[in-house]
Amino acid sequence: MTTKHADFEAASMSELMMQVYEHAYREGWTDGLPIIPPTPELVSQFIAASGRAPDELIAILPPRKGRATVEVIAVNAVMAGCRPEYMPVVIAAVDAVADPAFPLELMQITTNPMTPLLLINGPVRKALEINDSTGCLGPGWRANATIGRALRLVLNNVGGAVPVTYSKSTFGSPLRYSFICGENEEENPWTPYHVDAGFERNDSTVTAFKASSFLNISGGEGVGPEEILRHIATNMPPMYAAGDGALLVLGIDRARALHDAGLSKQDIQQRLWELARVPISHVAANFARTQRESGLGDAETIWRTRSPDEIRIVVAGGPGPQDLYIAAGMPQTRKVVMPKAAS
Amino acid sequence: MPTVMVATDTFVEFARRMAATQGCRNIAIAVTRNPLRALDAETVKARAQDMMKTIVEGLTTGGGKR
Repeated sequence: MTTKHADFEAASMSELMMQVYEHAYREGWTDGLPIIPPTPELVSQFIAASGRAPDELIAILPPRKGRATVEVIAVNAVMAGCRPEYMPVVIAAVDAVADPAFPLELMQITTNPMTPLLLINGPVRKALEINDSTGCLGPGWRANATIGRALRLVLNNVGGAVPVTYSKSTFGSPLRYSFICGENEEENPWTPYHVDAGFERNDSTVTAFKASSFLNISGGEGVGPEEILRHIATNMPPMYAAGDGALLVLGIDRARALHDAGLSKQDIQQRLWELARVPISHVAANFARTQRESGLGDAETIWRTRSPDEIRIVVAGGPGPQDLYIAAGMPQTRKVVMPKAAS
Repeated sequence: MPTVMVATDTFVEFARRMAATQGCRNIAIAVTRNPLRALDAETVKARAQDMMKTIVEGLTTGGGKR
């Protein structure tokens, strides 16, 4: 990403805003939505809020091998509508998706619409008002809307995942605008995700999952844990997993019901692993064969995941008879490093 | 290392762009018709045979040099 400057003259503020938007769109810097102009003053504020040097290299992003420095990330965070204090989270997200174990190059170019899903844990959720409760994966919350968008703009503008040019996703996905929520740790009857991953409860973390779907399991069907899990499992079809794994986002009511019935997360993982299977007669023969060869089936059935621990469980959202299944796996977690003055 | 890419006609430009980002601007590309996913084994073999001349030439005449 090279630095470009542009000057605008307009008779009114609204005309100026439209000029900036049109210019940014023509240059291919946007996701199609309006942007905040990344003026030198704003970019400087964002860099300062990161507590890092502007030329610090966070990642080199595929396929274009673009250099995601702090300054470049700041430019995209400004455009996305972030507040300066979101910068440490955006930087942690960029660092996470650039991990060599995260299949970012594949995600940037494939016909599949996969995209990073960001799960936020720890005190930073409350500090930045990242929604983890009612509506947490929908519109209405600035932090959720703009942190995910900032990552998308970095992936496009720095990594080059521009639709058609490099990204060959057949349909694209609405999840590619911004796909992020906090975990509702306060309503989680078990340990939160980042603690399971080895972090302290007071650590703030960003976890990036390779995600390719969003399936709301509606209705809260099932009486008792066995029926509840059977109903959830029928909404977790085996598919081309290739390391995807499965992320089950339990609504707070369901999480409480399963916990109060005496189930641990491990119990849920084990039972869902056993239930989320279909007979090979239900699928194409070559699909059954490739799944079996990938360790995702036996002579009679194909499975959602290779093992119970590839089914990851988090708790989010508000009250209601809803759960969420996301084909998501290969998580990479980064601790959010806040600048000294803010920590 | 001599290298040849195999791509479908729909993705040839993209294949060349990806190769260029890896420093291989003049890589040889063997092309077959899109799509591939639903072909039976015999058709896949025939398609591979059709590309063999390009593949051999690409591997033996330095088309994949950086």
